[in-house]
Amino acid sequence: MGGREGPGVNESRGADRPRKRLIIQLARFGDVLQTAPVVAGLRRAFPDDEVYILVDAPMGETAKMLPGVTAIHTFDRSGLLDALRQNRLDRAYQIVRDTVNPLNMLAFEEVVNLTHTPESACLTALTRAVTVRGLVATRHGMVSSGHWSRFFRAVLARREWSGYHLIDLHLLLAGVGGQGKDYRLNPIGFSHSERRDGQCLVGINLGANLPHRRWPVTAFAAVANQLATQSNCLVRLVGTSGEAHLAEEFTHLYRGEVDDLTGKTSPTRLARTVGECDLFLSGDSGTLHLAAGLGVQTIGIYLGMARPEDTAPYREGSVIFEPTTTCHPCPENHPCNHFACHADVPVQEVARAALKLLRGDRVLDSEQSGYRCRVVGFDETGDLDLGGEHGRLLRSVWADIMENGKWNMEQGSPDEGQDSKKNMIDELQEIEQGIITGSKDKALMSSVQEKLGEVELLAGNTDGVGLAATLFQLELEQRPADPLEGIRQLREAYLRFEMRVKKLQLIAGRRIPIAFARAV
Amino acid sequence: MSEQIRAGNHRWLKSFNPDLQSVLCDLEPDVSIAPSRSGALTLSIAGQQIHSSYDPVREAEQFAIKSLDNVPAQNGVILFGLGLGYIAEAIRKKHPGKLAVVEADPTVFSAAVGSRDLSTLGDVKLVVGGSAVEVVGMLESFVSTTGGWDKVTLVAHPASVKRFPDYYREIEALLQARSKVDVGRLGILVATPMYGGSLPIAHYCADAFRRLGHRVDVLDNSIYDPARQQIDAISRDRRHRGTLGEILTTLMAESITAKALDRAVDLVWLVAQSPMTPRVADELKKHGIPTAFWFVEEWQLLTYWKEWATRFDYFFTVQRSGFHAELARMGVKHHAWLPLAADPDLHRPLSLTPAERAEFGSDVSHVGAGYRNRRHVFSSLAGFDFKLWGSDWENPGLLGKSLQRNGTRISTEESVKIFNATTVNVNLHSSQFHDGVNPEGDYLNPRTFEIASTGGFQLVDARKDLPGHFEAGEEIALFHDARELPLLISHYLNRPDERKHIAEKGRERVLKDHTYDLRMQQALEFIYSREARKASLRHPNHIENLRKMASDDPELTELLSRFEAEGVLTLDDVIEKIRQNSGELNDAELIFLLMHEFRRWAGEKDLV
Repeated sequence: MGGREGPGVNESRGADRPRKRLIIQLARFGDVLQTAPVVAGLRRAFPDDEVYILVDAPMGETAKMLPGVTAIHTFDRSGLLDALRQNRLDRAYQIVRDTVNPLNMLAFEEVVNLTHTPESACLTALTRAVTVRGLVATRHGMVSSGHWSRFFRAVLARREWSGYHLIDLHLLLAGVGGQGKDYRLNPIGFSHSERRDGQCLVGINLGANLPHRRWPVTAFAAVANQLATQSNCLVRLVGTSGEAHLAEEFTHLYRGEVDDLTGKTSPTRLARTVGECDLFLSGDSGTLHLAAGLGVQTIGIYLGMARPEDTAPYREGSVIFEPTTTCHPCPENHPCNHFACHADVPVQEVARAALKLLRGDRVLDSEQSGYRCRVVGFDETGDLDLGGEHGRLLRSVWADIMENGKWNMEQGSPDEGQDSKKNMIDELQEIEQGIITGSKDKALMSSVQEKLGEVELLAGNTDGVGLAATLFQLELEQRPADPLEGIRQLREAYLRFEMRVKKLQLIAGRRIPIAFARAV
Repeated sequence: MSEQIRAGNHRWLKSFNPDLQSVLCDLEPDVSIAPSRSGALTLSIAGQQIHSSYDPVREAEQFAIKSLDNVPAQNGVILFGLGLGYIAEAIRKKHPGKLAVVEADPTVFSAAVGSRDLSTLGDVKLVVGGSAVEVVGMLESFVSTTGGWDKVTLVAHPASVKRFPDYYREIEALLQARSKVDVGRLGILVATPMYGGSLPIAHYCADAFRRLGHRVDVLDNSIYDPARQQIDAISRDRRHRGTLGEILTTLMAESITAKALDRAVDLVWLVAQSPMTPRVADELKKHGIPTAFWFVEEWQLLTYWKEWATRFDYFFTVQRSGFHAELARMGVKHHAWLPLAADPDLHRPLSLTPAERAEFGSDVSHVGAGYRNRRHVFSSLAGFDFKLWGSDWENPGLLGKSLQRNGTRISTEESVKIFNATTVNVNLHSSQFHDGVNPEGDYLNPRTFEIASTGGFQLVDARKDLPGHFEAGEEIALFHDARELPLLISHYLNRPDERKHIAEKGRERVLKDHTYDLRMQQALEFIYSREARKASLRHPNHIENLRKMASDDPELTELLSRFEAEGVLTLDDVIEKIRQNSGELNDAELIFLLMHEFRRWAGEKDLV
């Protein structure tokens, strides 16, 4: 595999140590926890630097679990929402100011924005860091800074074509790709366990944020009952207060001893109670990632839209069960409502895997009718790997596209890139000449005309590739059934669109639309 | 094609807005009408784009969808900004209710008529140019078809507002005032004086507010008049009388606060001599209850207004010349001229009994107090069947035989009978400094309107303000000096038809223009157009308040300085300004962009 986008080294602020780096992560519990490898990657790449993190205010406690963070800053999104609900521009402005001012004082060398929202892009720009990675706001729109950031943006709606786990993508975006595996959370003083000597503690999170992602309580209870018959175990339930009815149902079905902490845990207490488990069972949830980060063996039941390739626990040996029905995973934002595949994950197999893990035995990948069991591993470059050629092939193609220099005019380092830039400018001049003189090249003219609206928006926008990525997604709609052929075409399409947008962007920069309008 | 359009538009104007044909003008060289990218014509003036240069039709459609989002279907819409008519057309398509369009600039109107077929707009009411007050006046008939001022929605075309921001805000404030005043939901407290000529005026005001549909409470302080007289009898010591008088004033003034808060009124209305103390004025201000004071006295004669004018939120006067300059100099923020009037329910034609005619009737009469000029002028009327009614005629001399009831006060009801029963009602405005007609006299006294309102014939001394109120010789008869008076009395006594004609016309004029109902409506509109502005000033998003917040934030100060007009800013206003700018985004711009993006996200999640 070729070289990756290297750490952003910029000495413009001198060699003063320590330099300061900021990670912006405004998403939820699980996402905040999964920022740990990026923090670790930055610490490893820049041992003398300080790493700060900006999180949504309620996630301040959670962020304390991230090892290596110098200081946690919070953004009061809830306060901002209130101010905007009350139409108080003054208060809303002040809330953002109060967030930004202390960040500005730190004079960041680099900001890594892991949240792909316009709001985070504005905060990224407001930090005034020397270098920026990820989405950043500019006068002309939200621009993805760094080509892995653009890649991330392009594949957001087509996750199955990514091949990368979310954490690996974050690492690539942060410029510290291939430095993964290091998913470890700060253990926060374990509580005094209720368990007796020799008793194993099995944590279960029965709930999920959406019903199509939730394995039935009866299934969890059946697994627990099987464990209870073969081992001396205490089941500890965790979850939100809204999931109390699930816990009640479980307690009714389960024949063993239950420590029900549903609705009773703050993030800190949750960390304590989950961290002391010997095994943790859950759907794809923040708590599952918490358990994995705390070194607990996990079994994840991935249902609905959950894709283990993207969001498996980032810990070697974590076990994933998922259905193999053709419609799994559910299409993005179009989950089914019959949940038929939930029954495809066999209770017996989950229980067997759980027992193995409790006994210290290895669980192996397997695929049977209706379900698949996979064990998390890492490939030779350090990227999370769930086995199978498909993921590896996708990652190698993307790495080739992203790193070989052809596609990215801004990098311009490889000779090939320089040549194509020269050719493109020649071609551009022809186009320009054609427009001014009223060229007969109707196809070209109509193509330019078609894009004039977009070109207006693009004028001055340096993120041509950002749009190429969007157009590229449209191309993905037409992909052939054969994945390998699809991947080949993707690469071509990406290059083609990128070129076209570059041309249009340059035309816009030269104010040709006005000349064009006059010519018409 | 252009000629065809123009001809079609002229036909359309003739059908629906015939007066506007005269407004059409030639286009200035800085007006550009050119095809947009989509082919539809677009307009720019002095380099300022009025419509999209890309696709004005689509832009208008999107604008209409956004603007009409919360507008009830039955509401009328007043669109500020005709442009080339795209937005009016889009509103027409989307909105079933009636539409009026206000275009500030005759050039834009002319550009539209000359370039685009506007006949598809059908029966749209168009108003072009004029002051804000005139514009609102011209919209009266349109609004009456929609069900009232609270049933119309003002929609502003941003590019048009940008050209005339203050004009737009003025119209907006007036419309808000109309809406507030017209729906008759105001609670008004009227505090009367204890006695004197302004006491009945306070009651006329209260009655007018009631007729206009407002909830009116009256603090009738005439009940304390016996107490006032009692104070005069208690002691000969002036200081003691003064102290007791102050206590009485305090009692009456504190009653205003108590009543105003108890009844949660929107406005306290006072007239000259109504009781007030500085503490009560401050208290009302603290509670956000506006106070209006109608000074129905001569400002140079009675000067107590000087210590009070700045304490009231609104100060109305019956005189203009010099007074308003003086008020402005003193720092009175809101002052306006509000002439006196009549109450046609009270000042009306009566069928008198023979006994009443005998008692109140005469060839010539005057109702009023015994001022110097009246004593002098009326002495020449001894030869007439002349009755003199009113008080303060001590030592009447030759007038003694004309003086009725030994100079006791005449009630309003009795004065109306006198005006009805008299052949020639002489009205001489009072003066202590002249022997005849005061040549500098300006304002009209209540009797001028009251006599006319009863349908009585009136011979009044010439006053500066008279021409604006009545047409001399047609609606009212004038005399210019003492010598002329007996001659004119004789003239009119012998001409019953002429008297009848003038009296009828005078009454018509009062009913049309000089009722207390009209005056109070005008006063409320004045007050609430400014209250709307004050309310907007109180809004935390008012640009003034945001500027205060920005005092230590130079980038925010700079961003706010890009707004030419005053008023309440919306997040969209700020984003619009940011989009017009170029170069790297500064912090203030980024913060507002963040707020905008966050609100959009929250909107998608139904959180705002």
